[in-house]
Formats: sequence, structure tokens, C-alpha cells
Amino acid sequence: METCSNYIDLPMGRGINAYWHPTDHYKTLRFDLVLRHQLRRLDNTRVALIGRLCERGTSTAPDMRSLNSYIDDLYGAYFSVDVGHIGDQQFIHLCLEVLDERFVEPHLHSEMLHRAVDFLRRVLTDPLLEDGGYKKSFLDQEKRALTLQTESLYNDKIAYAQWRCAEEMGRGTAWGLSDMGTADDLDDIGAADLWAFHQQLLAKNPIDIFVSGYIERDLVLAMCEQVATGPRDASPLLSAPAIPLAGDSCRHLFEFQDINQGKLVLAYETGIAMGSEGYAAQILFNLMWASDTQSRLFRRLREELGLCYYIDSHVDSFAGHVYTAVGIDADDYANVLDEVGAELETIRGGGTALDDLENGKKMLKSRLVSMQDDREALMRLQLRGIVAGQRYEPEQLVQMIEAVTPEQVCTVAARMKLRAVYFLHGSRDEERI
Amino acid sequence: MRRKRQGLLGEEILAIELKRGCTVWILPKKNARQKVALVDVECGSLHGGPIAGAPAGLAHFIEHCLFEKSGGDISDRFSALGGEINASTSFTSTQYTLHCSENLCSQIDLLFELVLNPYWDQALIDKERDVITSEIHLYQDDAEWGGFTTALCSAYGPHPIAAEIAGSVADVARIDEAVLGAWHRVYYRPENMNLFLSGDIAVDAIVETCERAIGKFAAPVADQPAYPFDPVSALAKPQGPIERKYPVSHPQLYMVFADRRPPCQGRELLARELALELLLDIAFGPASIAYTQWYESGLIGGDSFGAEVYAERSFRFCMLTSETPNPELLASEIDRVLGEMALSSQWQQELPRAKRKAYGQLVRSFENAENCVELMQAAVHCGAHPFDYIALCDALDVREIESCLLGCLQAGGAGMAFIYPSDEMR
Repeated sequence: METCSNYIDLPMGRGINAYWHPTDHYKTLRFDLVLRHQLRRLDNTRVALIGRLCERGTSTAPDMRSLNSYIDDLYGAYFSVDVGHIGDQQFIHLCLEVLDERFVEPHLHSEMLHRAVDFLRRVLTDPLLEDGGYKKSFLDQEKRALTLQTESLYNDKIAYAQWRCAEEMGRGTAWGLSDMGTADDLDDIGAADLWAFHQQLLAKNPIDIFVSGYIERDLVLAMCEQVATGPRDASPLLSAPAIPLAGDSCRHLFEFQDINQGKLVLAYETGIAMGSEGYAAQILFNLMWASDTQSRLFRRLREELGLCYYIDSHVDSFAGHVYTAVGIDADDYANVLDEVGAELETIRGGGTALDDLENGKKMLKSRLVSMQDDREALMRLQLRGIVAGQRYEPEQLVQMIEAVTPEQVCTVAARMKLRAVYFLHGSRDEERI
Repeated sequence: MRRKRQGLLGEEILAIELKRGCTVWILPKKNARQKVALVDVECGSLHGGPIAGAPAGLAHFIEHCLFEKSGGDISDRFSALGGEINASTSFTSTQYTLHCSENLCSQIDLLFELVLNPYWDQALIDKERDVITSEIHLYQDDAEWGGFTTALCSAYGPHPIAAEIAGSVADVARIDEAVLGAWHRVYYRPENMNLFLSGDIAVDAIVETCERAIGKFAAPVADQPAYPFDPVSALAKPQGPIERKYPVSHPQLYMVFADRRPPCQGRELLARELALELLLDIAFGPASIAYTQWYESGLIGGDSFGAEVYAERSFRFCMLTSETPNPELLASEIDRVLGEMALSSQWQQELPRAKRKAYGQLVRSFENAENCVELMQAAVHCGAHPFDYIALCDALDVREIESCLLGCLQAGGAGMAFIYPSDEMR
């Protein structure tokens, strides 16, 4: 069988896009099915609920015990559903990994592949219904579970601080809506109307199916047909370019909780999005800025000044934002802000050692090359490209990153406009901050 | 060189003992792009016996300090070769993990320099103390970590297993060059290490590199007295449930079932681990009756409910955790299920399903270099061979599983932590 280091497009029509990754590197076949929808109020809550209901039961496996037993019988196939968003699109992602029959004693498997595909189809298209809608008790339970999921964000202070800061940056925009839904909308969603919405999603929205493993093209196509049956009339869904923030002021937000270590999140606007000029330079800049042990802020704040244990930075390449997060003592707040500002000035002024640039390129190259052993990462890279309308292969990104000049890194630094400073802290005396 | 093949999986594991005692374990992955190397030094927060009055947190402190060399942070030199280096400290081991796609031999050389060639400098030690203090503060805010250690305290009493691996801020203040050096001389010796590798690897060149690097960096054997490396054994001393408050949105339950049977190792230990996992899966896994009932009634959050087995030579315990509106009720429900299982053998009907699932999960862990390295480390650390897991999956006897109900997962026998939201959060 031919093998390949990346996903190959298999056009299918009807708004179904299949991507095939033939490889004998793994011991399982992996299916990723992604159903995308425009991120908008009310629908965001509906999509979040449907994602959860996919794990509750089908007409033939009507409760969690029977649904999960079915999966366990397939040699503990891995099955997960997650709801997320990329830019202004929300998605339901079903993932199923089932053992390649070559690794099971021949007399023990019977039609594993067929049963796995049938499972995916039922989960997606054949949920347990009553009175023309979702089972009422399941819906109520999932409304409760979704509320709990949202409230539990509060427990992980690093994630919570990041989420709060991003919420401020996205206020009033489509991509600022939560992919976990909006609590106020829960009461307005009924079982019948949610099932109607689910069917409409299946008929009108693009479905991307990624299949990876030791499997032939024809079989992939046949399986994709089997999963997404029924009449469809889907048009492509492309994300709209992010709108720059109004004005150029920077908001300072403080929040108190009973904690020992403060969480500082700095949000910068660069306006550099996926597909635009400077995209590769921004990835490299972010690495050299604060997302690695080699980065300037890590060296300065942690290695030289001992002001923090963790520091990290990531790019939202749809909005063109950079988020830099650091855990600090509340007393060091002003000092850390000054240090961060000074480091940014240094990079802007061309203070990027060529050595650092080369090391950063090597590290990114190593990560991108290793990505070819990581189907989840490969699939997510492709998915982001599909949403943005600009797809990159890992090799292509390596080339783009290798071509970045020191001047281009300075340019990204020059475009880093500080727009929000969020500080979660446990200091009862705010005067001291 | 010892070589073992697992026919059905189509995998092979090589074990090469180096002249100075360190064993190199290699699981070759032809055509893999990623290479992973892990040096496992057998010392963690439960060690310390040989150094009288050593402060807690020493194993972790030294893990931080070893990155500092006379020419600066050694991570920079990995980075210049395209590699990424990370480290972590647990109860009984300190692990240094390298991820890379090229220049493996040069980076293996660096790995041995990292662990075998310390550079002590008072200013750097003081700076690292600040960083570690910040790390301790981070964990103090982490309800999950707090619940974990509190439940261990409830199960084992005031034993090092229930203490913070990084030590307290006061412990860390007492650590100086003298104790760091003593610790390093005792534990950081080739014969107390294993190197695990997976990826597309040129075996002969790697072995040669390892021999040369150890020759270059390891202190001569004659300078070091021999010490036993056994960590402190943890014996259950139940203290009753402990309540704690954290800034969380909902209450949480942490439940520790300590295994009260005598310690064991090797294949026997892996069998016990697997038996506990199967039992937990049958009792509380996503396909269990209890899971569905509790999820539907809202007693468990679903996403947060889980059970895990920790099995080592010096301790074994199972940890159950969940967000729940009522930790006490959930704990009594868990006891109810275990009590019923002890009285009726009906649960054995679920065994074939649980075994199939365990086998599938095991095969999956041979898929990529990173998981292969973790799996090898876990087995070798228990004194077993990594392929023993596969053999056991088939051969495990029902009596072995049954004995876990009395010996470990016994109703009423758990240590417990109830975590409640701090008052300001209500």
C-alpha cells in the first residue's frame, strides 16, 4: 500500500470533504469527523449541547452503559467528542480510534472496522429520541453538565485567567462568544427544536472526515459515504477576517480571588492573521518572546530575576492576537510589567541575537517534522487551514520559517500593541499593586 | 545485549547493559520522525534515607539545579541541536526527557552531562530557590493537587508520600550546596539510572556514545560508598476524612484506597496493577451501571470523574476523584458498590469486556515514540519487562483480581479528602 506523510484530499461532493492519510506507522485506524457551524449567539449553546448529547445514546444503544460497552468491545476503541472553535467557527469533533485488525488474534475480531463506522454514523445521525425530539431527561442532564463544565473553568486559575482576558478582547465580536454556550440561552432550548436544528446542521453544513492508518482509498470513500448519508445541500463555510479592535487604548482589569500566586495575562494585537504577511515571522517571534525556555521573557523573568516559575505565550492566528501569561507575586506586578515592556523594546530595536533566531528556527523545524508522527496535530493543522481558506503542509511551514529574517521579527515586535492587561490576584490590599 | 520480540505487535525491545551499570532500553521505530530519550534516575521524594536530616524537596530541587552549568543553562545547547529537554520529579524517580528529530547522539552526550556533571554556584542556587518557591505557590492554589495530597494524608497519615514533592517553602530555604552535592553523589550514579529510547535509532552508535559519555562525566566508582536505594515504604494508617477549602466552583471528592498487601515487584507487581485497573473499570468505568446512574442523577460531573492506579515497589494505591455536589454521599455510594462486589461474583461477567479494552489500550501505547518510552520506564521501574503487560492481559487469573477487593478496594477502607469552595466563592 502506498503511504504518505500527510492528508490527501478525496473530493466527495455534497459538502463532504474526505482526507486520507495512508500510513503503516500506527496500530489503529483513526477517524476524525468535524461538523462546522458559524459561531453565533443561541446556536453556540445548541452546538455545545449537541456535542454532549452525542455521547449519551443512540436508538440501538440507548444509554451510556450500552454505548460505552459497545466501544469497549471494539478492543477499547478510543471515542471522544469535543466542541471547540476556530476563529468565528464552532465545531463538533468526533474522534474514533479503533485497533488495526492486524494486531488482534484473527479469530477474535469480526468486522471491527464495519462496526466502528456504523457506531460513528449512529452517534452522529441517530441519537435516542422521544416525541420527535431529544430525550427530555438527557437534554436536561446535559444542560446541567454544560453549566458545570463552564463553571469549572474557574478551578484552573491559569486557564481561567486566559479565558477571562480573551473574553475581554473578543467582547462584542463573533469569535468572542464561548464555544461552551451562553448560560442565559439554556432555558430557551427545547428537545424538539434542538433535534430539528441538529438535522439542519447535518443537511446544510460542511462535514470534514479525516481517516488515517493502514487503509485503502476505496475503503475510505465507502466509509465516508456510509457515515454521512441522506440528502445534503451544503455550501462551503469560510471564516470572515477578524475586525481590528476600535481605538488604541489598553484596558487594565483586576480580579480578586483567594489565591497565593497572581496570574497576569497580557493581550497584544498585531493584526497578523493566518495567511497574511508576517505569519511565519509571528510564530517565530512568539517562540522567542515567551513560549519556550530559550525565550527572552523566560530568561529575563525566571532565569535572571527569579520572578516566576511559569511563563507562556500563544498566538490567536485568526484574530491576530498574542497572549502572554505569567504567574507572579502580586507585589511584583508593576516590576514585571516594566520588565516585559523593556524586553519588547529591546526586540523592537533589533536586539535579537542571530543565534537565538537560528535556535528558534531549529526548534520549530524539529516540532514540525515530529508533527508527522502525531495525527491529532496534523489533523488540527489541516482543519485550521480549511477554516482560514489557507492550508499549509508542515514542510511548507518549515520553509516559510527558515526564510524569516531578523528584520521581520523586529517588525512583528513593532506591531505588538498592548490592548488588555488582566491580573487575577489574592492581594487584599489593591493599593500595593 | 538482550533482545525480545512480541510477535503479534511486531515490536522488538533491546536491553543493553553498559559497563558502568546503566541499562539502555531501546524500542526501535523505523521511519518515525520523532525520537524520544528519557534518563530515569531512581530517586524521588520518598528517598532520602542515606542523608541524615535532609530537607524534603531535595530530589526536586536538584532536578532544577542540574540544568545550570558553568557556561549557562544547558537547555540552550540542546536547543542549538534542535532538541527540547524537560524534567520532572515523582515519589520514586527523577526523569529527564528529550524530544528531537535529529542530532540524537550529540544530545545523548548532553543528557549524560546534564545528569552526571553538576555545577554548584551559590547565586544560582538562591535564584532557583525563588523559582521553586513560585512553583510551590502555584501548587498551593491547585485544588486538584491539594485534593490528591490531602487524600494521601488521610490514607497514610503524616508520611512523606502525603507531603509536597517540591517540599515546603521552609524546607526549600534549608537546601544548600552541601546537601545537594551529597544527594548527587548518592543517587546520580550510572548504576542507579536507566536510559529509554524510541524512534528511528542507530543502535551501535548510541551505545558507543553512552559508554563514552559516562566515562567522561561519571565520578570514579571508588569515590562513592554504596547505599541501598530503596525508597521508604508507605503503609496505610487511615486518619479519617479531611476537609479543605479551595477557590473552586463546586465541591470535589478525592478517595485513596491503599493496598494493604505486602510489597511485591516484577511481573507480580504488574499483575496487581492490571488487576486493580480491571476491577476499577468494571466497578466505575464509563460502561458500568454505577457510572450511568450517578451521571444521570447529577452525583458526578462526568467529565471530572475518574479512577487511577499507582503501583510501585514501595506503595500501591487507587485514587478516585470527582466533582460532585455531595462528596460524602458519593463516597458512601462508592463504598456501596465495592461492598456489593465483595458479596457477589456477578461482576466477573464483565471481565472479558474489560480485558479486551485493556489489551486495546496497551497496544495503542506502542504507537508512538513518546508512549513507548513511558511504557518501558513504567515496567522497568517496577522490575519487569515491558512486554510482560501484553502477556498478563491474557493470562491474568480471576483470583488475582478478586483478591484486590479484600486487599485494596475494600468498602470503608479509603482515605478521603472533601474539597469545598472557599466561603468567598459561594
